[in-house]
Amino acid sequence: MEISRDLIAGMTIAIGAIAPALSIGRLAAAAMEALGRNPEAERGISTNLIVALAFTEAIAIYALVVALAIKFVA
Amino acid sequence: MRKIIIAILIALLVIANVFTPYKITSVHIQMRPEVVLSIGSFGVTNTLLTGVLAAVVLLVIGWLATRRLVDAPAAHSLQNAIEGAFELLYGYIESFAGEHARAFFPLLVCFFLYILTSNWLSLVPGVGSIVVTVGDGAATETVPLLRSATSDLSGTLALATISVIASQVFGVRFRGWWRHFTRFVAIDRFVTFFRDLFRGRHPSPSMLLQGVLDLFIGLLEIFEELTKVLSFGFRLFGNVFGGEVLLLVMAFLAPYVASLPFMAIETLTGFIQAFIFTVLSAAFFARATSSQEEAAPSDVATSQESVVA
Repeated sequence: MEISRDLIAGMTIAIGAIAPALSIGRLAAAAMEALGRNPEAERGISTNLIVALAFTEAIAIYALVVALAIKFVA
Repeated sequence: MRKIIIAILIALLVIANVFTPYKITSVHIQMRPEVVLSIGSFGVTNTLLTGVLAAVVLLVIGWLATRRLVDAPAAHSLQNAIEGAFELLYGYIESFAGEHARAFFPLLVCFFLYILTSNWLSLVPGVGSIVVTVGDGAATETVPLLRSATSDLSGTLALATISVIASQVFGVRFRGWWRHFTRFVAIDRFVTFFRDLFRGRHPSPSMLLQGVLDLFIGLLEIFEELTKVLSFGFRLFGNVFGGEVLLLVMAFLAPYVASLPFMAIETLTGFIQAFIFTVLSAAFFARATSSQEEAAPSDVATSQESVVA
C-alpha cells in the first residue's frame, strides 16, 4: 500500500511536469527570439514572459499539489 | 586570501555537517495547518497566527513610514523607500489594469504586500522551527507555533475568492449591472432580436443561432470565474507549500549548506508569486471592467444586419 502510494505520488509529478517543462522551454525560446529581434521592448516582453510562465508553471504546481496530497494526506 | 577563507569555512561547515549531533531525524509534513490553541470550539491554527503577525508587521512598517510625513523625504528615509516602491508598483499595475487602475490600486497593493510578507515570513528563522506542545493527557502533539499564512490552502483560497468577488463588484460598478450580468447570462442578443421583431423590423434568424451560442459562451464564463478561484488558490498554495517542503527535505538530506541556494530561490519565488497574484488580479479586473470589448462587435453586427435587412 505504502509503496504504491509513493510510486503514484512520484509518477504524478514526473508525468505532470513534462508538458509544463516543454511549454516553458517554448515560451522562453520565443521570448529570447523576440528580444533578439527587438531589444528595446525588453520591459514589456519580460513582464509578459513572467506572467505567461506563471500560468504554465501553475500546471506543474497542480501536479505537485496532487502529488503532495497523495503522499501526505491520509 | 579571501577565497581561501571562504573555502575553509565551507569545508568546516561540511565537516560539522557530517559530525553534528543535531541532525533532523524525521520529517513531519502536513498539508492541513495545525491547531495551536482553541477558543471555545474555534481552533486557532498556526497559519492564522502568522497571518495576523504578517498584518501586524505591515501595520508597523506603515506606521513607521508615515509617522513624520514630509514633502521632500531624505534620500535614505523609510518614507522615500516606500514611496519609491509604491510608484514602481503603480506603474506595473497601471500597465495591466488600464483605465481604472486608480480604483483597483488599494486592493491590489494589499494583496501584494500581504502575500509578499506571508511568503517571506516562512523563510524567517523561527517560523516553523519554534514548536509548542498541544493536546491534553495522553494525546499530546508537538506542532510548529508559526507557519506562513500562504502555506494554508484555506488562506490562499480566501484570497482568491476575494479577488474574484472584487472583479464582480468592479464589473458592476464600472459597466453597470445589466452589461455585467449579460456577460454571464448572455441574453442581450435575444432581447435585441425580439425587440426588433415586435417593432415590426425583420431581424435575421441567424441572430437567434448566435444568441444560443452566446448563452453557451456565458456558461463558459461562469465556469471560468469558478475555476479562477481554484487556479489562483492552488498556484499560490502549491508554490509556497512546495517551497517549504523542498527546504525541509533539503535540510534533512544535507543540512546547512545545501539549503542556502534553495533559500535564495524561495525568496525569489515568494516575490514572483506575490507579483503574479497581483498582476493577474489586475488583468482580470481590467477584463471585467473594460468598456470597449464585447459590446462593440455586437453593436456593429446589429447595425450591419439592419442595413442588410
